Amino acid sequence: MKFYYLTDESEKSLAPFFSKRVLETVMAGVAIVGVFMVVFWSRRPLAELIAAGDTPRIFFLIFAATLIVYSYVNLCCGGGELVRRGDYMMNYRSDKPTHEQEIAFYRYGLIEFMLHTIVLLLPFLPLLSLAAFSSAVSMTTFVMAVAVLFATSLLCRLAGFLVYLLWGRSSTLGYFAARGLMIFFVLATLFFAPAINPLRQLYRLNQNPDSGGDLFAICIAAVSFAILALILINNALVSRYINKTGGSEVQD
Amino acid sequence: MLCDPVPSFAAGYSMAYSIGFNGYFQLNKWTPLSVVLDNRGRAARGNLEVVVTAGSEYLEDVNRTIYTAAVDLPPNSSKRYTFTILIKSYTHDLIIRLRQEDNFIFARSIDLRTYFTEKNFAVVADNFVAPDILAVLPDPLYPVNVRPNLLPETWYGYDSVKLLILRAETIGQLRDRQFRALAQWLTQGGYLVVGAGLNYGSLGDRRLQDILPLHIAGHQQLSELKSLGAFCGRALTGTEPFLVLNSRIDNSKILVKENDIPIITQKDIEFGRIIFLSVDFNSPPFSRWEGRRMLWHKILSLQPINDRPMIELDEQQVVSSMLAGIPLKFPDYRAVVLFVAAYLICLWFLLKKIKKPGQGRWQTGLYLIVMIAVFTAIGYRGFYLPNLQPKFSYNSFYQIDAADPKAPAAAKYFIGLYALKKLDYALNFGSTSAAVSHIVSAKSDAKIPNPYVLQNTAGGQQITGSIQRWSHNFYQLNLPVASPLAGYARRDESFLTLTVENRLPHHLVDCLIYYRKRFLFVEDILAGSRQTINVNLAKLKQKEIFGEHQVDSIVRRFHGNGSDAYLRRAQRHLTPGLLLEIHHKYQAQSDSMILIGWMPAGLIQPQFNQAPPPGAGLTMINWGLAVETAL
Repeated sequence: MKFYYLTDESEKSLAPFFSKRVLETVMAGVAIVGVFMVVFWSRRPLAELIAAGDTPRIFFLIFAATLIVYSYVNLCCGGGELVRRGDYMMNYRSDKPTHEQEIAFYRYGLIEFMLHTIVLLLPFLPLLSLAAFSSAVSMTTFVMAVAVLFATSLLCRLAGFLVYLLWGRSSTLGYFAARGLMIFFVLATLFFAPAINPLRQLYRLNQNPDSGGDLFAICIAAVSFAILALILINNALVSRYINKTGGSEVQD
Repeated sequence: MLCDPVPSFAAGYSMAYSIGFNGYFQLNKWTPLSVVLDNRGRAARGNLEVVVTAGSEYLEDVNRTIYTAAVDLPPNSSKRYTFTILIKSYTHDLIIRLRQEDNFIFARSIDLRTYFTEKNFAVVADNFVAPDILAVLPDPLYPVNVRPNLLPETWYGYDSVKLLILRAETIGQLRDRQFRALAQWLTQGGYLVVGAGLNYGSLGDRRLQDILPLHIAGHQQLSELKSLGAFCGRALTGTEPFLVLNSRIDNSKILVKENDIPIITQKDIEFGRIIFLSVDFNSPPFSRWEGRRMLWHKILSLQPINDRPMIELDEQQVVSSMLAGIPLKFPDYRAVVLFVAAYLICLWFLLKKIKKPGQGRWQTGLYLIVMIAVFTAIGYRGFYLPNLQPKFSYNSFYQIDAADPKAPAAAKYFIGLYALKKLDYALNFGSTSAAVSHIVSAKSDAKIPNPYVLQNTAGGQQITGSIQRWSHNFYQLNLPVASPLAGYARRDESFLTLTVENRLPHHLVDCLIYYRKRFLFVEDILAGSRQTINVNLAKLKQKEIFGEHQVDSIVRRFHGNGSDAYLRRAQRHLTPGLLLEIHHKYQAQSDSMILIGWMPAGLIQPQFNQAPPPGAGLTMINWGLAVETAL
């Protein structure tokens, strides 16, 4: 694996680490979460909450906002939507093969996606931790909630990549399919498979973190299974592409 | 009598219990319960639990209070365990059970429906009583005969007793705890009738002498008691001779005497009273005398009346003031806005630098990670540690209602426990004998308290419970305490002079005096000192008579939010109701004054089974005293 590819800002890379558009999108995402925090910060005195036996919801609200923003950013990154549009794309209105497509998935794409997903989470951490501190949740609960964010975002990243592999980055069908997948998992499962819904998990961690360790395990196991399935499918598609085109692994 | 041996489920155990007074109890009054466990099998250890259920299914507020005591029964042993329980409902069974770890060795449900009464009790504590003595006791009371060994072991176990009748020798038979409870009940307004028996050797008992210092001159033989005619309207006449104890009691008042022998003597003990009968009320001719009903009616009419108006604060108001003074708070909103803004600006600046191609972007990336760590640390150190780090805390409010310096003051202690995480706790208040009950805040959506257990231990009563996240528990203790203030108030033509000795280790601050329908701020009363406060009556007279419109101006004096934030918040919450209550109760008493003082400290220190959580205590003393005139 060449680390150079991680920062290659050409259209050969789906989501380079220092890409201007990725960084701008992350900045916008953090700003949205920051504004959310300012707007929804609990104005009720703590005494009133304790008197009524209510739990502050800021932890859930901030994590839910982060989940949506962060998953969406990863979905776009996976689908190559945030890549710089170079001359080739503009002139030929067609995709140029990317490093993620040309190198065996396990050797580059998967590692890059995981690293990038972690790095993209870092700017949200101060806001997430402040929300967790003010809700007085335990470190375990905080780590569990961050795990939900990471797993969901990685799933979206892989789903985005799958759409990219199937339809390319300029396809309208791919554009809607990617968002449909995200809406399906983040929102629709709330109604028919609440046990694996990440928003519901975050709400439960906010309201009653001491119970339901099993529910968390079920949710993470289901998401992990979906991630594993996407890894296998993506790997198969990348391998097929490499076999078909002869690949570019010789460059390594 | 609700005193029933239970065939046990586990071979070798049996249980007998006695609830209330001869099986009867009053609702919402503290009631004694005695359980005797008999073990004819293997040695057993565990907990004896008494489960009292209150509330209604319709209102969805059914809740259980569990009273428990550790049980250690060697083989072939029998032990008595006593409880004082508060029964609020007779629709739910009382459950007595013996628990060994998670197993119940036996359990027994007791239907309470047929055993409650709405009347207060006249208790005759004797193993042998004349058959019809209960029938002649005064009607307003519910007469019961109780064996002396079943008398309460706590002062509040006498909550429903208006009149206790026993023979002098019975006092010597009481267990130490029973005697202490009896003595405490007496000092707080209990009413005891003691009859002399033929065996006057027992009258020298040290305990009896403590409460009734008798000087005995022997027995005298009489055949009639005409003096009773003047006392209760019916003389005791006859030809059969009987013995009367000739005795004198220190500091007492003789109500009836015959041939210079005191027959009925009254001895006041602080707020309580003892009537000493020099005859054996259980023996002839007294037990066959027709005038007994009239005599008991007359005796009941002599019961001590505590006409001192008590300053009763509404418990929900106290709870509200304690909630307002919770020693936890959210981070300040402005600080949060500043934090978010500063972070977004720093992030924007660094991301902008990272976007620029070149070797420096890696370095800037490192700065970005450091900046994220710094802001996370600020969130932790600046917002979490000072405000919310102690996830369990408490505050307390202690109200002492004092009057006569020699008499016990009535005290109420409230403690609020606050938790941001779910946890179990155990706390006790030392060996203080106090009636412990829970309070459910009216502001809470919950209708029942978090579960808790009241455990009798050698070190006193212990509350063991669990508390949910972002929740609270409130407990109230009622207890008698020694008066914290001593002194007197005198008035001449020009001044009201209050001489007060503060026996406590803390200053009394923000002191207010209520006299002649006016409130007046006076100087602080320093700890452990005796000081004199002079009030110019002419100036006092110029002040407007207190009215509701003055409440705000008085409350405004309690300003500030610094280290004494809890004191100030509690003052602002409680003072309006307090002023109106005092004015309402004392405005007609021109010869009385009230001193109200605050102490930013708790006089009772709760002891927790874990590292003591941060907490704040507050004490309010109201001292009512008569003003002597020295013109």
